[in-house]
Amino acid sequence: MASGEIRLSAMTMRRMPVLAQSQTSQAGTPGFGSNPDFAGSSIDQVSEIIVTANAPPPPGTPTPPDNIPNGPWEWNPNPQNPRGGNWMGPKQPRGGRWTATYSPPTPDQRGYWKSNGPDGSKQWFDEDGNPMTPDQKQWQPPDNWLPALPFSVPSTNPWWWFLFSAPAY
Amino acid sequence: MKFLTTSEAQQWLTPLVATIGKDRAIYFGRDHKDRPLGLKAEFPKSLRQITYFVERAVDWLPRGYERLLWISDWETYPPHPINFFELVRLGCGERRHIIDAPGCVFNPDRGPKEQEFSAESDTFPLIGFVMLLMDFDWAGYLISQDAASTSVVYFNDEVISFSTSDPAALEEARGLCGQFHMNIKSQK
Repeated sequence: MASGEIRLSAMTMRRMPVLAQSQTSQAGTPGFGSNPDFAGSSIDQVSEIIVTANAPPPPGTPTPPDNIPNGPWEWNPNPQNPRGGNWMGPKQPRGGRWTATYSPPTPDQRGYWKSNGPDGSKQWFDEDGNPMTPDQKQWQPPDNWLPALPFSVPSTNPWWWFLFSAPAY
Repeated sequence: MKFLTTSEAQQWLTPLVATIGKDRAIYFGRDHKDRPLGLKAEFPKSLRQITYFVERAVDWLPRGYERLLWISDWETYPPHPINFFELVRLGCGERRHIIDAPGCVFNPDRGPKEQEFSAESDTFPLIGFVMLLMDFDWAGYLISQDAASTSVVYFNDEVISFSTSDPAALEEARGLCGQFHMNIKSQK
């Protein structure tokens, strides 16, 4: 049995009619349960129900932004992990999954996400999920911190741009 | 060799005016940014180079002082790295998981500076542990208890940092990185 699973046997469900009724009442079509695969079936035709639940991450654990590829990300708790668990991508046909880990800001580095592939590859993302290079983790303005301009200006000093640009009315 | 809990490691770091943060990073009394001398370089390119480089990096620490290996970040997925690492710790007599005892103190290397290789038996597992940490892409600190130089080697995300207040030691680290054709990212 996988972690976080609860298996209800048919006998358990017969002894717990309220549970069985609740499953029936949620059905979109006549039959047992809300899953269309069970449409038209009765409680006696189902051997067991497997209920899976995902434990929430520890309080304060950030959630990977949706735009980080290879998700969706699901929290997989592990008490041996320094973060309390892993954000894991979907199961792959063979081998391991993608994982995503968050590193909080330090005096040296900004907060960032790193995803690790089952082939050993790594990708880095800022806190908004935008791809970045490992060097961009450092607390320093990138070389291209001024927006690209369509023409050359006498100075790259932002004050020049602020003072001499046309007002936007 | 002795494995340490977080509080025991904190006690070991006290003479260095260093603290372990909630994120398990080690913060020195003076911020790392303000420390006088430091060098960052990318890991050597091949595993074979790392095998030799780590021995040199461990040898870079000052002689005659205890050495702390503090694992500040590790992964539990995929499971084989942590399981193997803990099996090696078990071979060293440590039954606790990493999360319960992330530190390990190693006896001082008292050999001469010009020695070919360390004769201190604790140095061999220390080199091996650091090799595994680098290969697994975990993060950690290697710290000498020499308060005068506060020599630290930090490795994280395929970047290794040498930090010291000894200019000669920094120059030695720079030469070490050059010997292994490592890309030096920053130096101060």
